[in-house]
Amino acid sequence: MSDSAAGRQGTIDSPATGSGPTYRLAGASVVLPATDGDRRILTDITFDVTPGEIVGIVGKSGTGKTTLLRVLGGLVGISSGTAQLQGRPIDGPDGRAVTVFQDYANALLPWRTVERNVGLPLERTVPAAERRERIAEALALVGLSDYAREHPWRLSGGMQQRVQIARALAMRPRVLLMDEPFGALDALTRANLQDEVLRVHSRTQATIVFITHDIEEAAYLSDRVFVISGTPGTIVDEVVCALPRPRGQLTTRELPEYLEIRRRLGVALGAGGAP
Amino acid sequence: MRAKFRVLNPLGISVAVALVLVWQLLVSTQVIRLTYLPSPWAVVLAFGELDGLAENLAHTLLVALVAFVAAMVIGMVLGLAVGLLTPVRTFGLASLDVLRTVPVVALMPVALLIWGPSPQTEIIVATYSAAWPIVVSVSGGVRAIHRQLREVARTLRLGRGEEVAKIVIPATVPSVLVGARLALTTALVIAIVAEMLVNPQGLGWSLVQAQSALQPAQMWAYVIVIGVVSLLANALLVAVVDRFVPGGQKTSRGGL
Repeated sequence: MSDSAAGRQGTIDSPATGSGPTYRLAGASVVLPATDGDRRILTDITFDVTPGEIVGIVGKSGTGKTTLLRVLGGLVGISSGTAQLQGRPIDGPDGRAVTVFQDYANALLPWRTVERNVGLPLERTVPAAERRERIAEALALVGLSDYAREHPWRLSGGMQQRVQIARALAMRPRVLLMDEPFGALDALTRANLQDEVLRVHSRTQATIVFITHDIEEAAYLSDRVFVISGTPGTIVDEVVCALPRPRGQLTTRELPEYLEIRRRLGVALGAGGAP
Repeated sequence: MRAKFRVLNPLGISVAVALVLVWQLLVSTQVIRLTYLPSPWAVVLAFGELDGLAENLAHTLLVALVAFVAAMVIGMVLGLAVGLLTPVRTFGLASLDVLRTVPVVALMPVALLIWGPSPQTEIIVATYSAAWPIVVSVSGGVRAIHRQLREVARTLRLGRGEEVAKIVIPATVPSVLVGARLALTTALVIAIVAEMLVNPQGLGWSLVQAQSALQPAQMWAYVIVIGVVSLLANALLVAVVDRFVPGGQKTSRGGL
């Protein structure tokens, strides 16, 4: 990164200083070894993600959504094409893009308190005083300041997922990658966390790419939604969600534009049944 | 907290007491008359006749303890290596499995030839057999760590060493404690067997001597001492497990 840490005090993140896209994928494909030889999981993925954008990825299971997110997070390498983060090829997780996993129970360390879970990525690199500050800041961002000394297993599922988001935010990433972040939560908790993510986004301006199987969630949160389909998976549709921000669970979901986006996503996913 | 006072099971204990009473009754009414089966009361009296019990006990406990600590260290290192390093599994697992299944008693004559009749030999064979349960449970514990935690470590940019120290080792603590519990009793048992077969010292040797001297009551007294020591050692480690592994591992509790 070109900017210094001192220049980023006070906020978790600032928008990329350059004008280029956050992500640029061109003709990217992923081939992974399987039991019966190599299998092509993703093929010819091409898209840009601009700084500060919220991008949803929807698709049926088995279409490589998770693999695509893993590519963006540097957890899986591409086999051909290009995949760049801020103009440089993605080469492993480098702290600019941090992944939040769906299975929060196996992402947090149960023997550590909430604050020590959040501080985990900072222990080797950030001095203690600054670390405490960043932990407090990240916990405040997700509304968990009062639970710093609890153990995660004593918190509800929604709160545990917020701990995981706070831990990612403590690294002050440019990009937050979320793999079905609310898939394991009940509807009400889910709505709360969606708004939490929007609040975090408006305060940090971090780019967010998330996977969901819920087209309403995709329409509600995103600036753009990619629809991924096929085996191997590829992006078959791109829906722009030009809904006003800030969004509200009731008001936004009543807008005719919202209903139209939802309908388009449903059709793209083949969820509409007979026309 | 609640569980601590429920360690004693009154029903189980009353059965044991009843069995002892029946034994006493059968012997004193001469229903069974075996020359070398003393009555429980004769065994109680024999405790007064045990020569150098404190020294022997201290010897055996010290050997078992040293072997236990050595086995913990060796077992954890080996267990982590097996669990974490694919080459170690690929090249070493077959050898380890063969070594593990050879009964240590069969190796005692070999150890006696190499190191002679000494406490050192006792410690070596006890360490050898006590290390295996730790190797097995630690390597199993490492393999049981959820795959996702690897990815968590990667996305949070933890180094490999940091990942081992902050995720792998803490995650295997329950397995280590379960292995430790087995290791401590194994170290004690093998130390006693080694005293019988290899090194004439300690509780094991005293028991054999009582046998040679045709003193069945003393023999039984030593058996009881050994039993109580293993029981206490086990209870101690169960308490440690309960203390450091909240919630889980209740199945590791013994019967009493």
